[in-house]
Amino acid sequence: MALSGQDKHNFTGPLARLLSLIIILFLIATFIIWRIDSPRVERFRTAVTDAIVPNMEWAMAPVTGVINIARDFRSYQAIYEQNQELRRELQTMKSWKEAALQLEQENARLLDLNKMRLDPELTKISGVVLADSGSPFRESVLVNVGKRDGIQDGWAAMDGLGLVGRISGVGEKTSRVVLLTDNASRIPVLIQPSGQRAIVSGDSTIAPPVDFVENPDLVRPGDRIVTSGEGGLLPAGLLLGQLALDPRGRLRVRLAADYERLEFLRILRDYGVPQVDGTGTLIAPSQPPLPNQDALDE
Amino acid sequence: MNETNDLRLWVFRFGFVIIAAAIVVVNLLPLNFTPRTIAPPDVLVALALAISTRRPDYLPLWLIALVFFIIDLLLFLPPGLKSSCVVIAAGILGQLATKGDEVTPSLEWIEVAMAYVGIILAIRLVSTLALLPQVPLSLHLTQVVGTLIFYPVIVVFVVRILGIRRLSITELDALMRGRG
Repeated sequence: MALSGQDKHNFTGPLARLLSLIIILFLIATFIIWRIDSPRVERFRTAVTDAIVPNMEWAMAPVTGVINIARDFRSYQAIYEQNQELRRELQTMKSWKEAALQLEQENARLLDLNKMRLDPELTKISGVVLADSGSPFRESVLVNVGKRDGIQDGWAAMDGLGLVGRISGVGEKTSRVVLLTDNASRIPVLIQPSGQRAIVSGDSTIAPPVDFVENPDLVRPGDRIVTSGEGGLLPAGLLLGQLALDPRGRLRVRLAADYERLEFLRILRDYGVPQVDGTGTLIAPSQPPLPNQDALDE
Repeated sequence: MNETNDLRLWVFRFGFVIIAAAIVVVNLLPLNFTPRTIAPPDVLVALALAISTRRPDYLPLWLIALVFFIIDLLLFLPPGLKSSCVVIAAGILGQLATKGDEVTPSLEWIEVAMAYVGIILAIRLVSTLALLPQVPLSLHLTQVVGTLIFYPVIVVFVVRILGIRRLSITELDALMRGRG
């Protein structure tokens, strides 16, 4: 059986070579453009993802379900030991519950005294996780909320307990959350109670390192790590997790969010803090627009 | 004869796209959110290289480029980086295949190993030059080792199940005469 001799299947002919060269140059050019002007190409990526991934859901959902059932089944086998362990934990928890109740009452009293209101702009949108990053090289998830739900780039994604990541790339129906563990993730944080500022930079491990701590002597393992809200990047005060020391003596975060199972994420609406540009705006609020001249003449 | 060949060709190409889509769907399943320390074998690249080194006309470079570029986009990888490397590697292997030299399985394995290591080295080099965050070396190493160990399985699949064999010298001769 010979190859068909026609030119269009002629893979070594000059035309085919030229075509191959053009394709390779196109791919390389895309990479270079992406590196120089990332938002444009990322928008294209988001559009492609948005067009393809929701259509794959019919195939993905049942498979995911079956695998999760199988995992659950395996965990049932260990249920007896787990039960024993839970009973022990329950004992300690009971005392904690007592403490928490007292603190809650005290907190409620103090909030009442303060006439405290939670920031009304900090409301949330819940999304279902559609897909993970698909390769071990990046750490991200796709959620099923997008531009049509009012999602914007840069918003914070939390699970029930802690920060999970930031929105980076919003499509019409889907958006991508870059997880804290991704090696491109950088989050400015505050270490409490010492109030030290630092950066949590992902490095493809489950516990991202805490870099640029001003004075490492003031922090100790177990300290709470929350977002600092610097640069208007994320709302301040979102919990990331606890500080920990790895065997090499490097500071890392033990993340509060349960990365083993991300099923639903809450995206926090955050329209940013109004910036104070000059001294004038600090003293007086911005003026309402003056009625225009035509209206005055009439 | 040409018509049936054409049909077979397009059925085959369509099949490749389906296999690629299946692999991507399996990878995208929302099951694993924690960073991994080992990477699975790169089945699709191995498949593309195994076919390219046998019948490059079955899997034209534009199709490889299209499939791998979309995968770059979907998997949130630098767009065009891996895909261009794979296209170049497949192109080189395709060129070697048309020479009609006798190729033993071990020689083929060495060729593909060099091609695949080349792909990964190029990705790491370009990532460094472009100041991208570098992927942990353990991931790339395990991926290279896994892919190369897994490669003979892919070859068995390609030869036995898809029925794609190398052209013999006489067939290549016929091809060259046909092109005249």
